[in-house]
Amino acid sequence: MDKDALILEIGRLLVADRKVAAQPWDRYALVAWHGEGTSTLNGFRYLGDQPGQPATPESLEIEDLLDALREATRVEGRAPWRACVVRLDKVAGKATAEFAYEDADAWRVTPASAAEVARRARP
Amino acid sequence: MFDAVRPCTSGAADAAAIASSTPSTPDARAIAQSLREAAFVERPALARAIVDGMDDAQLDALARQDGGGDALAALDAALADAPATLDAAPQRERLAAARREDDRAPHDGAAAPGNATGPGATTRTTEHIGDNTVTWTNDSQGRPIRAEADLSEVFDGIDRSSAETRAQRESAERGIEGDQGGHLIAHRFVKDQGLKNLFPQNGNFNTSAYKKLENEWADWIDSGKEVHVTVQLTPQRQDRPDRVRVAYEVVDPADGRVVYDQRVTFRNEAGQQFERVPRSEMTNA
Repeated sequence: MDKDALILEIGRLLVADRKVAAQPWDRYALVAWHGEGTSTLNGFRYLGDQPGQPATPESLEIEDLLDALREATRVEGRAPWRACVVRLDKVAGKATAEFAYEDADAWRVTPASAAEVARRARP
Repeated sequence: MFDAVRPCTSGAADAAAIASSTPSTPDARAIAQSLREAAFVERPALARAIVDGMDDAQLDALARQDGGGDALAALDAALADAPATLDAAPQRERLAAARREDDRAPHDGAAAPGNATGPGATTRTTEHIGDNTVTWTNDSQGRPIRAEADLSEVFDGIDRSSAETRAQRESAERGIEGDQGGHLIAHRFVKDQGLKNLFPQNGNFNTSAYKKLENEWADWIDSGKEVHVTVQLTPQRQDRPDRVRVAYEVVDPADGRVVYDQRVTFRNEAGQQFERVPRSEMTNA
């Protein structure tokens, strides 16, 4: 699958995910972050003007697709991205992705940073 | 765009094929795949057709199948997005009943009957240890595939039995040099559980990155929160997993609010760093 197809498929999995769908939402952001040997995923769902709520998906296939997306978006001479934000707008039916090849720590989610990351990740 | 344009008839055709091709044993993977491949706007109608194509016994059989819970969840998620003009309430009630039936299945302390034969079969075992509840899924050779845990108690200072130590050695021997018998769910949360809770784990990974994660969970619990954990080993059905995928959710029992949730993927190798949530950030979470 090429980059666009992978983003599309990730969007489909997120929409179908039980945990993501447990509460209503109209926008959603998935933040993938790669550290030293480990990687993390954090998801936020948004409804109207309310702040993003934690809603990390359950589907294990999403990580495989993100790994494939990381390979598909490699830029020659650079390390693969260290952070990726997939944004879904359910009403518009749009999925977009932003990649951070450096300065990825701005997307590191902790309890202290979660609200700020959710605000910046909002579609 | 995350919805491809598709012919509107494909959903009904897929549903009919799924519901009629294997009337006694619905295929969880086929159901999940058909929902994934359907355009978003078609999913509610497709899910409704799939549910209507199965009687209650088939829904129960689907719930008990490996991956069946995920298929039921995907069907319910699709129906939850049904427009007001498409009444999905009866189908969602039937799905909820099937999921409740699966929850009532006799898993406590023993294999669920009828699901442990054949090379692809799995066994689910649930144990209650103090306030903690854990369900392990193991393959036909007893190797762990997955563990789901609701943790709210830490057992500090509990010695390991000789049987547990032997099981750890046996598990390590399935791996490679440098491996230890590592616990999917740490001993401090579940005490001695033997081989169903052990996999060949790189020793440095076990005592460094994974231990930091376990310490984080213990600190969340000490701060009064509950931690819901899923650990998945991948690939499945081989002696030594390459990766360990962990999803955890921290809940405030006072109001049921999810205060933090995250998924972490580790490689089963040395030299990884895991930046845990500091205890100081838990107090006001």
